[in-house]
Amino acid sequence: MDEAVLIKLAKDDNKKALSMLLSSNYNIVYGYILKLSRNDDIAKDITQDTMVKAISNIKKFRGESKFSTWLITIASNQFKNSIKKYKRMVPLESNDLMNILEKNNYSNSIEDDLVLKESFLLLLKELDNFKQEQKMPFLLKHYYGYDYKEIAEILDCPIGTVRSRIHNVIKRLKTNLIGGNHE
Amino acid sequence: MSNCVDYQNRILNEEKDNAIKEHIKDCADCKIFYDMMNSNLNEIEFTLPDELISKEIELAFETYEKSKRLKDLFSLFAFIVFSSIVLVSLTTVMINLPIKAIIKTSLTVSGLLPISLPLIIFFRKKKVLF
Repeated sequence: MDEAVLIKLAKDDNKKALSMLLSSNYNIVYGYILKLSRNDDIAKDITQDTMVKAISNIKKFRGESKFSTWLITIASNQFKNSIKKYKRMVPLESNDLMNILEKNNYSNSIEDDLVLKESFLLLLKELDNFKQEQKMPFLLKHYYGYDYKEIAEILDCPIGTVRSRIHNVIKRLKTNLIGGNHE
Repeated sequence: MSNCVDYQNRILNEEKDNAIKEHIKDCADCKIFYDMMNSNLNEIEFTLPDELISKEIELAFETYEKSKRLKDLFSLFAFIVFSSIVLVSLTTVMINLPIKAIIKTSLTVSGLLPISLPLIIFFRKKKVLF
């Protein structure tokens, strides 16, 4: 069913429609928070909090953005507010994250699939050296394909800040991953 | 070397012209950077099984219902406390005052009722009150 129709039904207290909307976007939110935190428990907790918040505020959703964008905005705020609470939680090792990834295949060849997943985990580990406010815009731009304006709206910060944060992350990633001899 | 910095900045700006493609054929570092910027790493996503998602959504609805009931209960409690305070204050005032003042207060209270009633209905509709 069309997302707009589901949103309209959900706003009219149709639990099934809202449930369908949340289910189809659950993995986006879970994946986003897991990439930020590298901790499965934190990702599950925040995703759950995001869902509860979405249920209680569905009537306030104006439909100006995609439903997934709205959920990502809620999840980003939830994550920002919970950083202190989860400060002591240790990120998962790459092996554990690989176990979560292993269920899906992204390439026809097993070797290519493994290389792709390992590169992905290497990048995630490297991202751990950055502050959350730097990781968030980078992930939103390069994993979720949002443009600078949308990211600025999601994270509620100026567009120039978004640009410079993403640029700094890429610059440092470039140095860390392929060496700084070109600087 | 400054040539590479220039190419990498252009790759960073998501440019994909022939000059870049030619350059990365000869420069291993820039090729790695180009591959990183244009990789399909963003196709990789952590996922949970569908059954678990259904359970979690159901749990989210239950949590919402519970918190809503708790909020309603708290609003009702706050309303009762507030009304009691008003009632007790009025009674105290009425006991200590002469008959003229009691009539005056009664008239004021009864005058307030038609105003307070729509207010209660309004707040109830807005889900602030029970």
